[in-house]
Amino acid sequence: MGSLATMPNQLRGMERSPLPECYRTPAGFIDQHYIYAFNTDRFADGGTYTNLSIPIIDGYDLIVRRVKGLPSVVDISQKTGKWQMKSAGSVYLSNLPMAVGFNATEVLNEWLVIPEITYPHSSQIQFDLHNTLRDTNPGGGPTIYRAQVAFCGVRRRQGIPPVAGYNYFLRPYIYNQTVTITTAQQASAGVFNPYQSVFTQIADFDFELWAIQVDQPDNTSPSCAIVLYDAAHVALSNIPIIVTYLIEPSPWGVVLADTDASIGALNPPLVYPQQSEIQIDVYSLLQAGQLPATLTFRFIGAQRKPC
Amino acid sequence: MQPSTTYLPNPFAPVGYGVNDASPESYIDRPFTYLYDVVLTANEQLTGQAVAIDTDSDFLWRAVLIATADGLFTVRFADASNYYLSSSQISSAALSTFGGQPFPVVPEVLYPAGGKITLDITDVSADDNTIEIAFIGAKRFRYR
Repeated sequence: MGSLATMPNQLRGMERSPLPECYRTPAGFIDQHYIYAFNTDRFADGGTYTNLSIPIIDGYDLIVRRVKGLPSVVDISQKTGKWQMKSAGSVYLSNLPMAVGFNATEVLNEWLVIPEITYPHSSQIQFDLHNTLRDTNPGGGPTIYRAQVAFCGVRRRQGIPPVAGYNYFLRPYIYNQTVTITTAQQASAGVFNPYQSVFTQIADFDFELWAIQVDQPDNTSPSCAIVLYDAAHVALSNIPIIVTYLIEPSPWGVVLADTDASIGALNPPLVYPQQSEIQIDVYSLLQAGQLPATLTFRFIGAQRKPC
Repeated sequence: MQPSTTYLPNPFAPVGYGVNDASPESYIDRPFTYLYDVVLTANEQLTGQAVAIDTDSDFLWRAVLIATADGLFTVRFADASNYYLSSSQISSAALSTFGGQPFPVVPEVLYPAGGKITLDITDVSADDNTIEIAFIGAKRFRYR
């Protein structure tokens, strides 16, 4: 058995090393931020659904590090609203289904998967939901579901790590992008309006995207779902991700209020070369009476300034 | 030999979002959570409660989370040799209810395969109390 020095408690956050350890991928592999999500729009409320699955079909392995969105898919007012997750080998990762609602005001917004778990290409993420209840937009009009479970992490592929090809130092930088949603999700019941693509040009220097922060008119209620793209315009999720899922837990001792702007960290960061663009597709989750809605996306990161 | 990629911890990311595999040589750790469910009546006290550890692997207990509770309670945990890990029962209010920040157990506590997590638990809400405690950690498998 290893010593304490070789077996750090990975869930602790109180004692941070002044020189934090780098994350190291297996030799010959590259990681990229990715999210697999699952919508339960078509599920009946009050049901139990077992062996739900999301196939990993994009040719990469998926490394899952956290799960978001559970309160949006089960009844959090009842202690029978539960979930249970399986490994790629269809082995449950807990001995029983776990409650999602702690009480009337606290819910399991976040579940960290530590140690991280790998779902190889062609496998599937499997999970069960007990006593389902879909979150909906309470505004009048056609029913808009906001029921989604998101499995967040990285996808891993074989390759040689990219190098910048020049020496640089990092300088903090933030791109602001304002987005105004002017259309409801549905023009009429079942007739969906198109999404809008938003592009943010990368000027001056190559840019490392570390986090995305979103201000909404009401930060407690998701106004849209988004798809983020990398510099090659490859989508980084299998379906649009509900925007409030970007919120992250903080280190120990710091708890974000629900009304704080959502901050979503990307680990590892995404690199956007100079003259490339950050693309997001924005899918409205609003009713006509809630329009227009203006959101501010902040792409937080660092410029690679040559030296 | 291909080089490996390294990346620094993202300062915006939560603790534990991208940490290296800490499994010792010849072992592999897999995330696992043991749940303990109980319904206490008002002021009920239970001692010697046990959560059985599966026989397929040892369990490393690394964090605790109160997954659900109707009210306050106190609890005291014991290690695999039944040695208590606190001098008396501690309030559930001192433990985390936030899945993104479970209360860390440092250093981790090892329960052997086939062993049990023992706990004493007492309702202090003076009412019926449906409780679920999550023992978060990892199963450790030997692969050679």
